[in-house]
Amino acid sequence: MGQLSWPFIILLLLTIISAVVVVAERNIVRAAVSLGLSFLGVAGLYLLLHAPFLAGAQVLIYVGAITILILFAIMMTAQRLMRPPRRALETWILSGAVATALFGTLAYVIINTRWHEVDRAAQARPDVDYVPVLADSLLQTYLFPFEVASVLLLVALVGAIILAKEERID
Amino acid sequence: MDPLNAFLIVSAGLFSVGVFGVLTRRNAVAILMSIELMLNAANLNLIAFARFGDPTVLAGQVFAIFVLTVAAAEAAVGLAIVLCVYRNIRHINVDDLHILKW
Amino acid sequence: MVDVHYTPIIPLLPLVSFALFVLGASVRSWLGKGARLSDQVAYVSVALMGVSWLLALAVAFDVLVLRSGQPYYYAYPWLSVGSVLIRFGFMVDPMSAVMLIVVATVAFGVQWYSLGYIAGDEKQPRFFAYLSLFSSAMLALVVANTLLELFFAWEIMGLASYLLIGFWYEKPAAMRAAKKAFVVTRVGDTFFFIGMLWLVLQTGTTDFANLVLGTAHGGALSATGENAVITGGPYLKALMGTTTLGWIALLIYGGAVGKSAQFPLHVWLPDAMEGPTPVSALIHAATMVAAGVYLVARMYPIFDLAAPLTVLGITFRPLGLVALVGLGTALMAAYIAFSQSDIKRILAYSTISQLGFMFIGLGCGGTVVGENGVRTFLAIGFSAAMFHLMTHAFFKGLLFLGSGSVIHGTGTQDIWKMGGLWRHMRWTAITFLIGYAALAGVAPLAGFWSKDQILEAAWEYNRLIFWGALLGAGMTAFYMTRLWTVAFTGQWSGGEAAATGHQAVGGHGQHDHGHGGHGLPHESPRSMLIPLVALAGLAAVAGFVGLPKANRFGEMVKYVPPPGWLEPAGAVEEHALHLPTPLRMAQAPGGTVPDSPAVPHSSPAEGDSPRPYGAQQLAPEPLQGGALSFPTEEGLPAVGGEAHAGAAHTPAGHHEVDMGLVWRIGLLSTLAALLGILLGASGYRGRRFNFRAPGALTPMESAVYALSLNKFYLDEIYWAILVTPLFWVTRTARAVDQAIIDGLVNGAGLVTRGISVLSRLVDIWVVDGLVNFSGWICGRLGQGLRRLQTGQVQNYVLVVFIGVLLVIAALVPSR
Repeated sequence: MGQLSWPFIILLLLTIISAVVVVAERNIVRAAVSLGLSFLGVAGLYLLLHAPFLAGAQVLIYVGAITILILFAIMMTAQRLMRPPRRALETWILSGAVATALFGTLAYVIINTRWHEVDRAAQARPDVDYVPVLADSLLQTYLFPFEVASVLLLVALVGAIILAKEERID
Repeated sequence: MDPLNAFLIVSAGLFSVGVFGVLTRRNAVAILMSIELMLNAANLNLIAFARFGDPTVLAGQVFAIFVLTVAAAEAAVGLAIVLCVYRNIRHINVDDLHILKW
Repeated sequence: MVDVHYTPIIPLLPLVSFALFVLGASVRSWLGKGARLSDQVAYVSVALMGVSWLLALAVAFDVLVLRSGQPYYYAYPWLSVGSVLIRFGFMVDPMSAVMLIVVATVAFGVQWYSLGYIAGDEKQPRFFAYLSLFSSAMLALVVANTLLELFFAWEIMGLASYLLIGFWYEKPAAMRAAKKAFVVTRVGDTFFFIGMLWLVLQTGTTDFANLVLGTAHGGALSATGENAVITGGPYLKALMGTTTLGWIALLIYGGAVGKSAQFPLHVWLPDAMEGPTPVSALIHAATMVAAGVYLVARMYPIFDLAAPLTVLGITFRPLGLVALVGLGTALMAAYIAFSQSDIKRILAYSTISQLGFMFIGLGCGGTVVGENGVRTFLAIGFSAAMFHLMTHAFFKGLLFLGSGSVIHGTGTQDIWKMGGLWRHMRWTAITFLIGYAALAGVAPLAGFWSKDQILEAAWEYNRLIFWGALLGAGMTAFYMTRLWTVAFTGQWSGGEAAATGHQAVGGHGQHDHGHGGHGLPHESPRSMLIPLVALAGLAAVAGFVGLPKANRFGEMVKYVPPPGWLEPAGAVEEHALHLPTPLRMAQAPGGTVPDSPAVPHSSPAEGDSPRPYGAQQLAPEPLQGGALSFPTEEGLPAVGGEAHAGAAHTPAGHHEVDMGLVWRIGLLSTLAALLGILLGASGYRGRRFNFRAPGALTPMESAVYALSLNKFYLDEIYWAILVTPLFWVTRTARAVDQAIIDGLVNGAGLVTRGISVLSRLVDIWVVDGLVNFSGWICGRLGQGLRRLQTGQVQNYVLVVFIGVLLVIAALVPSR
């Protein structure tokens, strides 16, 4: 595949730039909003990958729930402006170097790996609805992990409530 | 460029940005946000493989759903912890959270 | 049927009550209820003592009547030390049986009496615990089967006595008296112990069955007859007639001197009157002080079968010394009693005096070696002493309990502050009168009979001692009359209040009860009177068991020397038909009696070398002219023949009573008693004699009086010749200690210190230096490495990612 499609490039830029804003913006609220944008970009990429269900879930959960949750947390911690980081420059340089090196390594590995590709005809096609397939595998093949995940959510729910609960001083 | 590789590289970029955020941000909430970025990168990876793999199984997508679940749980618990910390010491600056040191 | 086999239980019961008291107090304090037991527990003690008393009576009855004097002996092997086997067990012979009756009766009476006497005292349970311990020890002493066991009981008694004398330990006088009693008797006990060890060395046994019963224990004992009496046991055979035995006897006598308050160790007994009055009655009148007499009586063969001893050129037989010391003690104590004003002290000196009488009796018995080397046996002394011990226990216990009642009723112990008690304390006075008459020797009462027997024995042995003892009897009557007249007749003189006022704590008053300032004296509670009446009854009739014509007591409790002892071969023929021997019993199987006038003469000079028992060597030897045991004049001892010419030969095992002699002695002693009583009554009636008033006496007289009042200055003498030098020695030793020993010790200390300073420097600079250096190195390293641990999560994450990169970098090229 020679050319990258325009939607892909737009979504790519949206995702990466807003991600950079998330990590670089001093105003935490702006960072959170930018995080929502980045999530939206990823949801768009899911659509490009023929995963509409996941794209919807991404929007619902990440954009709708987690971003809001984070905004709540920001408001409750009431610390809009972040203090200037200590040893900012050397931390930034070191961290940037590590992140860049990581990206470089990953990119090198990705490009130099010969992926075992299935037949193009056998690949997912945009005109086929894969949601039933997904539902089938989720509720049949992966039923047990599915249930475990639901228990995990329940536990996380309870745990979060207990942790965040205002301690009553008797 | 191979579309799979393109998606994978996007994913790698997103991941690296998340790593950078985790390493540099001092606000605990911001660190959580960076971690969400990294989880998204991972999900993107999984779905890309699902798209270019066997469509009859869609294991990548199922996996992504689980990651989504874990991420939601992680976000809820993590933020609860942050709240808890904030309630106790009136800030959430991880630089000053080093009482485990020595 | 309760028989002798119940003997072990008798001393056990009071011990049980003692244990109950002690454990009960502990349990109470563990339960957090305080250690003080309630007063009611005293009834437990009295009840157990009562059971013990009944058992003692039953056992004594069994031995004396049913077994007609055959001893009961039971023992099991206890300790084996080398070749010495010590058996632990019990022996009841007639003498023990009599002692059982005496001790158990008095102990029971005293405990009962104490119910009233000590009531309300804070330490009442403790008092009964001590009393029980004492009673147990005394009963055990009486039924002991070995000298060692007797010694144990003897020492426990010493402890109990100490505790009881010091019962009111918050009073310094009581504390001092307890200490004094303990230390002084300890002097005697040391002699006793040495003597016992020596005896074991010589004979290999302390068992009475081996030493005194004349048979080995066991089957042989079941034979009746001769086993009933004390003779020298088989283990003494080899020692018979040796001076070794004499020295052992003297050492054991030392113990008796301490316990029975004989001169010169009598000083503790008067002071012991600081204890509660029932204690004085129990311990210091009836039982413990009699233990010394009992000890000598128990060990009588050892005293009797010994050869005369020679010390500083004076030769004497051990029993002669016993008699002489007894006489001296009796006279001295009676003389001191003349001037005392404390009722209990008078009785204490009276006790010392009477104990002296008992020792006179013991000393005037036994074997006497005549001028021609013939051994003559005087039978009556031994049983007379034991008889007097018994009667004395009853009437002296009675007198002490009576004095306790008086003190209880008047609040004072000074007889000069009493007076007229006859009117106010009728029951006490009547019983006291009986005790007084018995002690003074008025005819039908107990003291008369026993004292007369002792006088008889003294007459037999040595006339000087007889006259001395007669004088003592008169003195006894005098001081007791003085006590009676001053305290019980005339007018009530107001008690403590009259003389010293309410708050005063005089030298005499307030010993027992703190309630100075009584009104009129009052009669004591019934629980105190019942024992008084009972003892008064005993004091009145106890003498009838030993009437001269029908001496049941003497038949039971007697000492007979072992067969052959009195039988010097050849002497028999030579002297058989000589002078008749009244009141003398000779153990001669042939029925012929070798005899000679009863002269307490010295033995031959060979007496010092051990003489194996054997007839040949006991043949009469020419008199060697050794010094006389007593200052006997030539005419005096030889009176035997004329005094009782009518007496006949005495067959073995019997003794004829010379009634003429008995009548004469009875008359003499009654005369002496009457004289004493008349003198006392006339002198103290209306308190005419009051030597304490200034100017009442001429200087000469007042010196005599002061000698009595100050107890012959013995306490002062002891202080001067014993205690002060001891202090000097201690002080010198202390000085030596400080100058030399301390110097050495301090020098050694200094050297050690110098060394340790050096060692310390080495330690600091070398050892510590090394340790500190390694520590410092570690610290430096740690300081450096510590910086890696920032505590900041992000730093760790950074390192993690660096690690991830390194892993990937390591993996990629290898592909």
